[in-house]
Amino acid sequence: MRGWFFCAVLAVLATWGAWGEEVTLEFPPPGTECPRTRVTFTTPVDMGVLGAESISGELLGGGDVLVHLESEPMTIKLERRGFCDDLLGEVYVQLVSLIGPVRPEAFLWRGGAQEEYAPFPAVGEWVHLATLPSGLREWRGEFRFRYEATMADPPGAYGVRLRFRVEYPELPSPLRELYRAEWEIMVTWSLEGLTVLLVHEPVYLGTIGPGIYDPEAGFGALEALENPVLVLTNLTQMVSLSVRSVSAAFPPDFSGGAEAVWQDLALRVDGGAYLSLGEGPIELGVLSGPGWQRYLIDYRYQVDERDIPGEYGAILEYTVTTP
Amino acid sequence: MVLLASLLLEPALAQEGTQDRANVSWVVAGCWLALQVHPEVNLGVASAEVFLTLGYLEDVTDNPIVIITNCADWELQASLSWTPPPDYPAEGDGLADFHWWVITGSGPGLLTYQGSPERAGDGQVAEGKGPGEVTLLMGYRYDLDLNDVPGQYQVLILYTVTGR
Repeated sequence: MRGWFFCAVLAVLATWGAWGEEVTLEFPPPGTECPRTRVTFTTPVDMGVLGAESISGELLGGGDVLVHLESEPMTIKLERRGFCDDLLGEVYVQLVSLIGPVRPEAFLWRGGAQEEYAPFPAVGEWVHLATLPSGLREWRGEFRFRYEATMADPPGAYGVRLRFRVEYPELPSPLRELYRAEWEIMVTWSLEGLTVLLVHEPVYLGTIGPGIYDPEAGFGALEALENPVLVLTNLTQMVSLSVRSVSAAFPPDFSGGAEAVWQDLALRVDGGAYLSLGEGPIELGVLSGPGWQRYLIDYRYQVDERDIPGEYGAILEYTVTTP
Repeated sequence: MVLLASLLLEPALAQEGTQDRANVSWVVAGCWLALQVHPEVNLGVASAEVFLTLGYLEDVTDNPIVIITNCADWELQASLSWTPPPDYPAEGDGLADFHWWVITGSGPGLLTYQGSPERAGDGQVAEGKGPGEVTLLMGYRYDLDLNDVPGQYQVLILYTVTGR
């Protein structure tokens, strides 16, 4: 009796040449007595490539970094032919195997009676999807898949094999296996080697007025605190974050020029010591291996009498380098 | 096998350097000046000996005026008022006997200053171009004469710096 199942699997394999196309199978093959189940589905389901655009969440806020891929809806259509649609049918799904370094708990699905994304309970365990009441000739189920990656997931190809089953429990035991319909689909995706740098929005330090000078304490400073810079990578090697000065804008009569701006503009990371941008590139931190780090940057502009009226600006360039 | 071969894609190469830029800006609103003037100056007591030998009271040490500004041009003015003893005669020279001047001036942008010890009354002390910090060391002198009746004499000098 397993011959029908192997035939079905072979038929599915034959369709893999036609990548991601619709497949229609009949169980048992035409010419057999009812119940006959005709199933139409798409395989493989390609979720695509997880890249920088897959990253979501409040990346520059305080929340977790979320990286996930989601599939388009995949529909399975079941038709019951012949004169046997009065039989009760049950539909199941099972996670058969993992391809590549898939973490099964991160592969989620929803469809059938399962409305929210959830992982499969275990590899090889059947999950009930739907009951086909007697008299129902056609059933459609829409499925979606999702992979919640972490930066610890290495770059490469990923996939899972899913097996679906329709069986008729009211049939006597010898016939139940004969008329059982089973087919497989694959869900595939891949992860890019990923190093992402996100820098905060433009920072306005404020306005310098007469109040910035105190006869006792001298000149004050403008500060903007805790501006986030996010670095994340799934590479195994170390990545380092640095910043350098690129260009400065100042009023035409500003005597010190760009050099004076860089001498007076300093930054620090995570509450450390302020470092002047006039001293060259500044190393801010190192990320050793897969993961992410959110750095909080404080900017400080030391005011002095050379700061004539007008608008000032500085463009800094953050760089993440991998050795 | 065809399938497996298709899945074993090469991972995308990691970038050697990823860059992003940050924009930091600020504004200096208007020009401003800070003026620091030395504390009260006591010229001393006009004894008979001082009257007969020097003929004046003077202080020419450590009377700094500091101007700190980011203005393009600035000017320091002095405006004087005085309070003599009640018996001071009306025909007295009054403030004409009180002289002030800049002994030395230093700092970028200092254009001119009033350096003559003969200067009396209101007037411009110095002017310059900013931005910068300028220090003026002031001298004060009061010429004694027979109208100077006993009592306490006080001169109030109001320094005003203006810029644009």
